[in-house]
Amino acid sequence: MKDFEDQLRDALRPPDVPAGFAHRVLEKLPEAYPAPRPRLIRRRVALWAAAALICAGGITGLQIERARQERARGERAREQVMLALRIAGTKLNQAQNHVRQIGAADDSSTGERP
Amino acid sequence: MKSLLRIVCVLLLGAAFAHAQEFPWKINLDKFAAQSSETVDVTLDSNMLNLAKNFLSDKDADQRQAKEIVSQLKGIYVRSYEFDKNGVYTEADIETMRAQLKSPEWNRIVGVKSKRDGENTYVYIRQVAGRMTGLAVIAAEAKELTLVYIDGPIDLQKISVLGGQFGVPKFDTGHARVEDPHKGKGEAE
Repeated sequence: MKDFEDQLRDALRPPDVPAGFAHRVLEKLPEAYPAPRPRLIRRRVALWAAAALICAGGITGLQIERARQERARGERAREQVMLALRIAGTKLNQAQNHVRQIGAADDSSTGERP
Repeated sequence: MKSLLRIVCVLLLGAAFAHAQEFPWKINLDKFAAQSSETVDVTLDSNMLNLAKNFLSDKDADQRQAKEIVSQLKGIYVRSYEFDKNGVYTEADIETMRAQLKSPEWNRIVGVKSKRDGENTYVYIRQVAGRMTGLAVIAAEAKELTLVYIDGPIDLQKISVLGGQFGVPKFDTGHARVEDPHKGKGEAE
């Protein structure tokens, strides 16, 4: 049994690595996995730059549109304020004119001078 | 379950109260809008007033005046209807509106009821601790009905100026007794 185990261990033992094996593997690595070409890098950079520009343009456009809408809302609110205050003022003036007319009529009927 | 119901009730009451602060009249105005040839419907809460304030110019005299008025207000609400024919609204409608501006919160400072001109104008102010905190106007003419509610401290003189007449005498905010000068045709208020 022990012989069998020894035989198995011998069979599975990794062979001795020849000298300089690791160095040779490292030398072969650039060939197996070549670095990306500069043109490919430039294309990727250009793509990212374009994507960034599109994003920035989109955000800017949204901000401009939001500002435009806010301005339109503000101008509409201003017009509504002016309209509402003018209506209120006109109605108050009408009421006040009525009061003055009544006062004038009372004065003339009692012979008082204003 | 009961506590949930309570919360819902409180929220509903809160919503009802908030609505009450917005517009003092609980009356269906749609029927007037449906029959009017021209309608003005302005609803400006405090957010909209703040926004409007930023757009009111200091160079224009009217806008500067409006900016001063608006800076202290919480809301402006106007409903104005012009009709092609008489009798779209009834006396009962006006009475319902008037009844909803109850004392002691609201005090009428002017009430003009002219049978000759067919014009009824009522001006109410709301006072809290001696400070004017609101203005309501009901102006009913034969073919026009206007309701104005301004929420917040307001100077009547400044608004009158914006109405287009300069140099008018200052409004007396005490109770006014107004009678129609056309005796026999008008009604004392």
